[in-house]
Amino acid sequence: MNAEFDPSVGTAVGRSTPKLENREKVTGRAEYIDDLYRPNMLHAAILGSPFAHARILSYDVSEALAAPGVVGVITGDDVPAGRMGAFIKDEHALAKGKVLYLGEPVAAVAAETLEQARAAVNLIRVEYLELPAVLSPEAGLAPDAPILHEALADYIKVFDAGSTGNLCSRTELTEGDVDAAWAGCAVIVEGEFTTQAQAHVAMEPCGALAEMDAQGRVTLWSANQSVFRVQANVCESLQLPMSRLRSLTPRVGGGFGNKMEAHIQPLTVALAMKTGRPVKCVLTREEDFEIVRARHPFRIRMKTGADAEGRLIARECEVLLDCGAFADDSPGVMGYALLMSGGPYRIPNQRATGKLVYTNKLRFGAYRGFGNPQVSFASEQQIDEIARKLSLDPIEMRRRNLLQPGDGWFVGPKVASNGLSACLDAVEKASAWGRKPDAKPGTRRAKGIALSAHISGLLGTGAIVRMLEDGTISLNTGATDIGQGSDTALAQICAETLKVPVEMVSVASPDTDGSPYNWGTTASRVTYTTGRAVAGAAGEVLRQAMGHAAEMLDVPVEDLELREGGRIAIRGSNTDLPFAAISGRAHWAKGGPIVGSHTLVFDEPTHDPKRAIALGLPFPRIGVFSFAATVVDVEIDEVTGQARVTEAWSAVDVGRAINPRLVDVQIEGGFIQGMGFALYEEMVWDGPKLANPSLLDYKVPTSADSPHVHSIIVEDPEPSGPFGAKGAGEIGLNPVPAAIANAVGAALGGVSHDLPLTAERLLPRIIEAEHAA
Amino acid sequence: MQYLAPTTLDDAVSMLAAQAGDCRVLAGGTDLLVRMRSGFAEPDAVMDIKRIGALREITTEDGGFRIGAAVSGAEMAENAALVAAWPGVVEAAGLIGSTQIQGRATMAGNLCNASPAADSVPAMVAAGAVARLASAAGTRDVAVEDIPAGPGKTNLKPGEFVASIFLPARPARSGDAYLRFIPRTEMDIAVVGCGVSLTLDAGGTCTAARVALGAVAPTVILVPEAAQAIIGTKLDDAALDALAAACSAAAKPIADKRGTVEFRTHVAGVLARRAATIAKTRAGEQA
Ligand SMILES: Cc1cc2nc3c(=O)[nH]c(=O)nc-3n(C[C@H](O)[C@H](O)[C@H](O)COP(=O)(O)OP(=O)(O)OC[C@H]3O[C@@H](n4cnc5c(N)ncnc54)[C@H](O)[C@@H]3O)c2cc1C
Repeated sequence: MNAEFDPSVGTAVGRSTPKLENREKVTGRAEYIDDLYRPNMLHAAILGSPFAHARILSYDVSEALAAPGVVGVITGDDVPAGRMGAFIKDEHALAKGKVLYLGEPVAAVAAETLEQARAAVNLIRVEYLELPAVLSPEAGLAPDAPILHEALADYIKVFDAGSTGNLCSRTELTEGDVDAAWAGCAVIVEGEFTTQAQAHVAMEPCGALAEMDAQGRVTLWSANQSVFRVQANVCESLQLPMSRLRSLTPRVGGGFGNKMEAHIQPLTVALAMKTGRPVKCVLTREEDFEIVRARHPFRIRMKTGADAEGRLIARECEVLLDCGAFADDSPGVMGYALLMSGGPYRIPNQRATGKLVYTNKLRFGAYRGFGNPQVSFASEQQIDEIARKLSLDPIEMRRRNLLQPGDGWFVGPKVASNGLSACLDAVEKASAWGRKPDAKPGTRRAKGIALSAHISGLLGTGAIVRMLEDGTISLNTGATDIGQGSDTALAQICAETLKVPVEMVSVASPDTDGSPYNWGTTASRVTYTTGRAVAGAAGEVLRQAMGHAAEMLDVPVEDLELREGGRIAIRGSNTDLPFAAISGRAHWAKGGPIVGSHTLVFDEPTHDPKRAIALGLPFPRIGVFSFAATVVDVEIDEVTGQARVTEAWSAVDVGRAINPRLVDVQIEGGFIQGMGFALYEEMVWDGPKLANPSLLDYKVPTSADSPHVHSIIVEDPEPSGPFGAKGAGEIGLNPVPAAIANAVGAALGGVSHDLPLTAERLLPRIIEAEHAA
Repeated sequence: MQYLAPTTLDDAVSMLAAQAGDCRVLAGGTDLLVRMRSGFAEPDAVMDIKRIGALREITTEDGGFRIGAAVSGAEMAENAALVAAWPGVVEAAGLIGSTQIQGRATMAGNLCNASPAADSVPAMVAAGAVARLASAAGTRDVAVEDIPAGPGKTNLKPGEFVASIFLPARPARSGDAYLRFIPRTEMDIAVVGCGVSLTLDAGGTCTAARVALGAVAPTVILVPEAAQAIIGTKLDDAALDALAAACSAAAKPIADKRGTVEFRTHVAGVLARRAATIAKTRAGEQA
């Protein structure tokens, strides 16, 4: 026996292994971008545009350059003409020629100290010609609207966006015959809904540190959700060959979507190249609100019809999205929202159409849920509305319409595992749904429910697993752990495949020089897609190790088996070999070091042309489906209108929980973020200016606001997933605003058309109901 | 920038008098340091008053309590006699920020920061609290409601600062309460705040009352009409309705990102009603 590793530790998958880096974080030794220093490093500060829409006529940087400590200044004149963007390449490293939103970076200073850089930024003179601004999607579509992107037609687009004028993209999805179907409906509900902009408020603001070496090659550390997207964005905007940029990441303090595409990495690299010295740029909390990205405000028109038994017949959804100044992930968000607009139900006739419109505001982009919470807010309330009209219990109404095992998804994706029904049963039971909660005097109280589905998948990923000389394992995936614990889950998948304790696996930090490609920590995908790559690569290591063992023990490979603790044994005998012996042979005698690698790209089509018509679909291949059901108990103060969630139950089908505790915290964290969105989080603009870019004025829930969230894990194994796993990162948030709105509807009557559900919005409904009574 | 740290009140008074430029008093620093860090305040000097022993004490005086200007909210909450006599004031100070903020923040700082939404101020005004101001010229006592002059402005003279706050002795059957409305449950700025202090006679009739509102005007306001609405009553529904109406009428809020005029006006009445009810219960329990 190998004394170092205790085989009684047993299998790795399914255990709530503490996060690998817990000790580092608890002792304050984890290094985030702001903790990094390089010899001779400069500090950067950014000058933001004072106008929402203006032409830049000239720059005068002489005074700033002469200021104490200043080493370099860049403006739009210093950056190449390259444009970056995930779907439509419309964004420079720094404003060039025009500014498109208030606060947009127009220049940056690198100085010996941060104070000097901040002081010098105000000495830069920029001459502008102010242009009329577009502040809403409706205004952007007006025939005489000022145009933001004059060269839109020439931009590179990765899908059929249909861009024209200020229309950034449009998407249209149709299945069945919606127009004809209304005639067969016994009940039809219709309504308009709006949702607000939500800020990510990751604990760590965005930042970057860039350094150029003597060869002119740049090393870039940044807070990100993908070192590879950082590399692509910097290289596209600064017109550099990708091989000239190495992108790395220290620990990341949360992302929720705002660190997936570029933030200030391109301008930080430009400053480092201009000055020839390392440059660090870290945003203030205010800048992080003002210049990164946020969740899209949606305007949704939705219509739903059902027969007299409550079976859904038709659903029509039309959305209008504020894109902000740059496309960023917006076309994807809109396309995905439309794909999810029917919810996890069987609806034979569906049409979902959307327009995404450029405005002179901060770009909107990826945010946990990716458009799904917004459409769910409308969709799930309409399910309740129909149930009310038919005097059906909301759970019974849903049960009559659930997407069944074997059913495909709207437009065409295949759905393999489907634990939706089990999720619904679980929350019904756990929340004692049938029991009406008692309201304290002066309050109204009710429960509400909502369901959701979400994908995990998308695009390319890889893993390299190496067996070190002593038989321990090195895992390298290029996937950034942004705090959710993916390093731990991936190490568990690797350990399980090789039957070694998790402590035997080291996880490499993402590095574009040494890690295999990983599109990113986004789309609830790392455990599912990268987990598949890890299982594949570890499987390859095992195959090679078995080959060695067969030669060493002189038996056919078929006679061998893998045993706990990383040992290969002859079946039915005590003869075995530890990995150390096998790896030693491979390194020093025969075959060469054992390295396994596996890459994949999610390649199942989204669209089935036999089933649906799709125009402007941004994701031709999408992912596998997770499911969720959430019940909330909401109490509303009758005289102030203030709503509070007293308790919540969320069941999520994650296929297989690789690490149950990490799934629980995704459910809890998603719930609380969804509750903030439902009740009070809102970015407010005063004309073109963001009025509340601070934690003083932008309210996120604190722990005192968080109710007890009962997380329930449902496991319906996904055949293509690693050990049956599928994603859990976003789905816990999706149903929350809808469930809270449904509880409010049950308590006060009526539909909530607008988020957030502030006291000021609910109070008039209480007063109206009292007058009516 | 100069950092001054006197250890006696006399030193403090003369140090402040000697300062030609902009010198700010530093108590807990939970407003001042935040403002300095974000560039809103750039004083030439700060004078830390936390090393002055006399300002760190809560003492009894004429049956009331003198609270030093450097006493934190957390220290107030640990003083059992103070909590028993002025639960509303202690609760109001206890609403400021979070546990961490509580260990630093002072009521005097809350008062001198002069935010219309300052939480402890309506409670102090309802309590009839009096601030003792110190300067090279000596000391003078000023009612708390006369300290704020407008958002961020006080009526303190140059060279003058708050040395302590005095909460008077309580007649029997007295009670006070402070309530605020915020979108969240902690770490937030009052959309409306209301403090009520009252005294009942043996029969349960209100003989004296003071009512103050926060966040509905440029400064915290004392609302005598609201007090009149309950004095002489047993705080029955009609009296409470009149109290609420008086508070709503006195509220002259602005509409901003924290709340609309209509909502703030409505909530001013609601909170007054609830705070008065709590104060009445507390007074009754004291019988
Ligand atoms: C995270 C956070 C949450 C907060 N939450 C709340 C809240 O819920 N409710 C609320 O009301 N406030 C809140 N505040 C604001 C602040 O904590 C309070 O106003 C606190 O009472 C200030 O007291 P301090 O001792 O820290 O004052 P300081 O910051 O030391 O001083 C505040 C101001 O008063 C002056 N000053 C202080 N002491 C004196 C004195 N003795 N004489 C003359 N001038 C003086 C200072 O020069 C300064 O201008 C919060 C602040 C933070 C950072």
